[in-house]
Amino acid sequence: MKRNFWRKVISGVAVAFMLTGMIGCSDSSNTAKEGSSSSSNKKVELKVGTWAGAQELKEFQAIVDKLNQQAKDYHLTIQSIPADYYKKIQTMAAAKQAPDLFWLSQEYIPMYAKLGVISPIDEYVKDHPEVNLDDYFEGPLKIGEVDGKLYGLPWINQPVMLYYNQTLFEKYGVELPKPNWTWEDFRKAAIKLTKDTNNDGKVDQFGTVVDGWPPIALWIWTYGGEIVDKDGKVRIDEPEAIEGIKMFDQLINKDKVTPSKTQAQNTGGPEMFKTGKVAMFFGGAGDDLEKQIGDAFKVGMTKVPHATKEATFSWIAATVMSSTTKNKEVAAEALIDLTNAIHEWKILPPTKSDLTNVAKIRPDKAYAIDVIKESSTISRGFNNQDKQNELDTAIWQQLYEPILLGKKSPEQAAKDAGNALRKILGQ
Amino acid sequence: MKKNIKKYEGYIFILPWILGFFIFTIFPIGFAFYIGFTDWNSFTEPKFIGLDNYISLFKDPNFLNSLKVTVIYAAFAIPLGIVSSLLIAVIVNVKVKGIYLFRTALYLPAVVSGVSIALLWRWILDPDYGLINFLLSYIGISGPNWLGDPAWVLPSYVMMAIWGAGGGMLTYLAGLQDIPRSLYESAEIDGAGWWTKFRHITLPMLSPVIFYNLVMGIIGAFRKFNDAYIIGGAGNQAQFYMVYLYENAFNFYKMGYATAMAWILFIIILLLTLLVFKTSPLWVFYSGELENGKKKKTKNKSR
Repeated sequence: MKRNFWRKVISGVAVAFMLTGMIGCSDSSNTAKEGSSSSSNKKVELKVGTWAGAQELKEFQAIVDKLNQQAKDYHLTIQSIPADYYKKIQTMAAAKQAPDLFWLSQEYIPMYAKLGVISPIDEYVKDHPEVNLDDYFEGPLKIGEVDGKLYGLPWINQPVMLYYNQTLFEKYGVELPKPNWTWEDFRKAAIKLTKDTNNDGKVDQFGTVVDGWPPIALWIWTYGGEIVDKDGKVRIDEPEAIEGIKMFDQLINKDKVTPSKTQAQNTGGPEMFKTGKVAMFFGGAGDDLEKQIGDAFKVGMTKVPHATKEATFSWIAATVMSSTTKNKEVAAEALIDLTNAIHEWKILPPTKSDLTNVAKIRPDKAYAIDVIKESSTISRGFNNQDKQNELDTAIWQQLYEPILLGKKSPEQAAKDAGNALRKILGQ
Repeated sequence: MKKNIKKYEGYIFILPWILGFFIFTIFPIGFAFYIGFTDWNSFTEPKFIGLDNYISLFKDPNFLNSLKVTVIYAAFAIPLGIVSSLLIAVIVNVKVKGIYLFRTALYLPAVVSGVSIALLWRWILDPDYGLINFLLSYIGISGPNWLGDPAWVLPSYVMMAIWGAGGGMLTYLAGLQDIPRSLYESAEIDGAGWWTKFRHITLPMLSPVIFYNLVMGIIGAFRKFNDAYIIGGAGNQAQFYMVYLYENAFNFYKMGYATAMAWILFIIILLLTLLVFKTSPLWVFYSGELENGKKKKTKNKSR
């Protein structure tokens, strides 16, 4: 009897202990919600997940503050995750606690969509007065499409451009890169600019730098090939793709116009370009190389070279909506407003109409506005798959790195990569 | 009544710990056991697939590669690490002015953060500007492309491990200073040289410390992650077991697969540790045991 009594007391204490903990937790979150909602007159509370930190976060906060003042239906709160962004979003989504709206880089969209973490937004954007899907460049808009549905609106489109050290070109009397350059033109110039400047028997100035960046897609696409086509079929070992890989191999292993992988990775490709050790550099259109280089030398920018088809790889990110957000209509409204506002902040915007602002936002890019526009038109992302991270790793292991190290022929690398990709995709 | 309170109040005091133990240790272990048998991307519900993860692991060339890389690394890094730690400890176990400075300097690798060490080594191993190849060039050797050449990646990691051997020195040093001086003195009277003293006194007396460091070394080598994840290495040669596990869990979202890998690693470490424990009576000498044994014997005699 007594024993039972004490057993009850102990379990009672234990339960009370746990409950207090739980109530303690939920209490604080409730007060937080009430506090913020009372200040914004019962607007829908929405959280926005972003990897922005430091200065970028301050600028983003200003945008969100402005939207909060204007918006009638919602109030946005930023959830800044500057480090380990995807791991945290993954954990939050697993606990059904993902922010209502968040940023996703292109390669994550198919997986998040197929797992039901994010919601399609077609019905909200279709006839929305503030969204003109035709105004978006095709490449960036496409990365938000999964199985015919639109899952996000891109807020940035960063096509790869060819930056060049004009001073160096002029010094060695090499003709400046042109927007219509082919890979052959590029190769010839790179060979002329790869030099041993101090005659110590070691090359110390290179035509270009390839060290894991830029992606192999740049060569494959511009030779008319595909890595994985839009239907998900692996095509990396087809003849067009192999032609592209051959040129990639030619530049690295035969013409040797790039520094070794280790040297480039240790010093950093952009660093080598900024210090005048590399004549041509593949960089994002929005990179602030001009600012960083200052008066050290004259910088030029043009479209990336091509062979049979014009294309350039683009880093694209979109705003997406969590499937767990309660009021989807209002969340979609906020997604549209937020994305439109970012278009006026970030360069390059993925829309044609906002592209005219680039020179205003970043006067240092004004000189290249025409080629930037042309590059935006031909820019594209991968035909992303839900196992995109695995595919990228396999391409690096089977193709990119072995060629960088001169360990495989282009044909062999393409064959191995093709087999690895098919295995991952179950083809 | 009071007696009963006394009986249970201890449990109430340890309740927070018990709860923590169950919630954060026992439950996750049980859950992980289950997850190993599921296909789980961490977003949706885990799907039970039986032994599929374990079966596909042994058909996965990347898994086999990571296992091979880790085993080769362990086979070199553990013995070399033990030998060099011991050697360092013996060298600094002298009473010379300023020896504390050397001890501190040699112990530094254990104090500095793993990330900074990894980044530092990336520079040291740079084929063109790195310290090692620079020094080698003085004696007319053109150094290899350490992390950039698949054949040199593992030797680079073994070298880094040996550099960190100073961290293991501490336990050996403590062990060395615990060896009774009288043993050496009587050996000297018998005319023993330094090697005989080392072989027949130092090594047996230190064998419990070596045993401890061997077990910790096995666990550490199989769990190698930090520097490999940060600086990598060419041709998958730095894809250690834990690196591949991490990749599966957090880059490929294959939690079930990664958990299965974790269980296999657990079994490997368990078996190796058991093996070391089983063989320990053959080579580990506990002076305490001897004394206890003597006492038991004398007790038996007196009976």
